[in-house]
Amino acid sequence: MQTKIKFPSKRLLLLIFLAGVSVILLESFEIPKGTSFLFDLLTLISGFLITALFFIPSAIIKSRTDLDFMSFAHIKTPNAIIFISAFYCMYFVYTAEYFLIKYCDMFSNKLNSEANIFAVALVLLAVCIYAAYKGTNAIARCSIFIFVFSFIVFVLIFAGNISNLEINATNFSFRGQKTDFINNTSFFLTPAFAAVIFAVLSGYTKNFRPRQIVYSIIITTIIFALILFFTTFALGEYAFAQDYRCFLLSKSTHFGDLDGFDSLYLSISVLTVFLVISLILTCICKSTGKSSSLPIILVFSIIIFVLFICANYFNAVKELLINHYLFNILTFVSAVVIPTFYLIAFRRRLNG
Amino acid sequence: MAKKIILILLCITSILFTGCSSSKQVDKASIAETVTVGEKDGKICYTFYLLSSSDTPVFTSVFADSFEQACSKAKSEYIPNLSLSKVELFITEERIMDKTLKNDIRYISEKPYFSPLMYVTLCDENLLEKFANDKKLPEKAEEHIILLKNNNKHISLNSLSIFNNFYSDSNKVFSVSYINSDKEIKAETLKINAAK
Repeated sequence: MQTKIKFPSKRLLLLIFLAGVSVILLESFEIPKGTSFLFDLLTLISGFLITALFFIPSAIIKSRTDLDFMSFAHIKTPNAIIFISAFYCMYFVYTAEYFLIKYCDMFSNKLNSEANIFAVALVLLAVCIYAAYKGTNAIARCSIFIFVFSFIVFVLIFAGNISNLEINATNFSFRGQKTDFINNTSFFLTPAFAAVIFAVLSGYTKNFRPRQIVYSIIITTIIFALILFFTTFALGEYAFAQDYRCFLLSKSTHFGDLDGFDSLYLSISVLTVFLVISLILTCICKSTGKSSSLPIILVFSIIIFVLFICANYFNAVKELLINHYLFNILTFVSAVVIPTFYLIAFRRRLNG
Repeated sequence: MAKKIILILLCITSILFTGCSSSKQVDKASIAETVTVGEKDGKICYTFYLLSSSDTPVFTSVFADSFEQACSKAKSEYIPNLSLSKVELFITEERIMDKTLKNDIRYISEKPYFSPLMYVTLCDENLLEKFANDKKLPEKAEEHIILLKNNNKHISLNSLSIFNNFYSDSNKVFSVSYINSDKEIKAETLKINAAK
């Protein structure tokens, strides 16, 4: 179902921005309590600077050859592509699992603890299978609507919390440990998985400009910084009373007597997770060399679902699948190490 | 066009899925709007005022040491379908404030179904008796609290603000609202110590 007509690169970057936002929406307790706002902001900036570096190899391949990394690798090393495909498929299964587990945890903790999370995961996967089968272009078109909706929701949440703001000087001091810095930077590096999605799917796009990546990262950084600012100054200590600070922020939103915008928060979190998993399924298709294949999407969806069931029965598996350090290492290998190796090995024939 | 309609329908369905999951059938649910904490015969009594169409207040009183215990007791023994997500007003009698308020606020802050904007106030010992007879009194109390808020920007009126005052290092004494019911009900300001 994937059409061969290329769509504007801006749309893919819009998708990537929304995928990045899903990280903070599903954030539970990654940011430690003892750090100040300025310290967190510094780690946020350093995390996103590293994220920007992750995009460089695939952006070079795209701008020089107008190909995505998988197509480039397929042309340059047709004999080794099976290993590259296998690694990227494994990485994408891990990423899908990371978001599926986090979303289902949030669903069960905040929305309905009595709901069967296997049914929730199955319904979500079913919708994502349909979207992935329709192809990246269809998902990118859907992302325009989701972007407008998310924009309105974020404006409502931030505007509705302005009256709760209590700016205090203590949070403007620079307070935090070295371990907090590593932990925070690692957490803010999580949206770098978008660089791998870009590396694999950029072949479907036209009119690519490197500044599009910069804008996308800057907007995601601003959203993260605003969430950080409002959770620090509008929620204060209350932010640490429960998991999921964005959820609390949406609950404390009010305009006069109208309060509690948590259903809007839950809506954008499900929509962004839907986008992430749909994109990942299309990435898996692309990694196997097919533009869109229902059997491949179905097989990998079954693997993702079975792994999800295992993660819910075996805590060690779950901890491994939602470990953001491991996730970042795998992202680093997928977005930087392998594409850079290809760039160096085939630098002379890059324009060929 | 058909694709766009399908995509929009998918998005709307996902919104509806999330919005309705915590719903309860209105005819079966017992929705608490106001919770009062008072003292009867030397024991702490939590009273849940429920949403109803009758002219007189519908409530259930539970003897417990804390709000956490009262909620679990109320759900298991008295009101199985008790819904606490719409509690707007939490009133504690001033004389038992030191025993219950700080722990109750912590419990409220930890449960996702309570709104951080729920009004939390103190009152004198006569008000709770009046609540049992006059259905419109909680509404009047809320109106007075809002009026007080307009005149005093530094007052802590909701569970979010009171929690932050209790559990942050910076504030030791802070102002909360106090409902006085000597002649007619009126909201005043009362300073309390965060350490207690």
